[in-house]
Amino acid sequence: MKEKDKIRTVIGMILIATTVAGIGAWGYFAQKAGRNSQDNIMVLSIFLSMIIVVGAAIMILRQRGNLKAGLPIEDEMSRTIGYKCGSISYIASIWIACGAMTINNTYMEITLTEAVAAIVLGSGLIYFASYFYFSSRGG
Amino acid sequence: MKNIKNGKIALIMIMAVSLLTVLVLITFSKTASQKSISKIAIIAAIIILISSLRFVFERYSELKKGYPLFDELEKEVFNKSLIIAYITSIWWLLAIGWMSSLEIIIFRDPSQATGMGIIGMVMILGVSYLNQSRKGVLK
Repeated sequence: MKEKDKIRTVIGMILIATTVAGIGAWGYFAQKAGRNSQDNIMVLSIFLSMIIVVGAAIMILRQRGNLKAGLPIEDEMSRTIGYKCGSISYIASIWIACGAMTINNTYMEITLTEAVAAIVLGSGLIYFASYFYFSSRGG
Repeated sequence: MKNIKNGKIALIMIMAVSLLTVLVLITFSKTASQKSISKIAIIAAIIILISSLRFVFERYSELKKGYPLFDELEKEVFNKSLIIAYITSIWWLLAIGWMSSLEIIIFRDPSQATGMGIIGMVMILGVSYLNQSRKGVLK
């Protein structure tokens, strides 16, 4: 079980490193290509992605700390919190999708990529915000 | 007695929401420009109708016997299926975005794509819940 937890933590750290590298490369090449009209959206997307990555990194570091202390990486409470945050994020993602649809039909035209980015990043942010909120409250 | 009354109200509300969803999907299938999308909407409507009818009748018979509408295990199973549905939905939305970029699926506008995304998310939740409840275990 401990070996499995260790592998999970290492995979998580590799995924975070890959994501950071991916975001960095994306920002670099986009900057190099000179996409001026998309600059604000790009900066916002990178900022939101980085917040999510930092949240994931904190989670992984906590798990690593637990592992070092000889504890399992997740207990019953953290599992329940994870389920709770997942359900909140799922409902939020549906509402963000509805919001994107409404904005596209009424206020301004958005592209599909922007809509998908809003749903994925928005729900990811809500997941981490609710995770840290419930963790600080103790479930 | 109060438990039965509240349960009955909840079941009536669940049935009403399901019927409204089915009606929306049928209307959507009539107005969709592509035949494949209207077929997906009809299939979703049928799945929702059958599952909700089965759910309501099963629960009503249990409610009459004096059981609560949702027990602890069911709440956990539902939360677990929600988090699985959330993670799968993120990939589903990304897949829609990629397929649209590669012109595998051509959408009229982002709203249509987002609508399809929401329908897919709900279907994923249904499949995830059925799978989890069939397993009947938490780990």
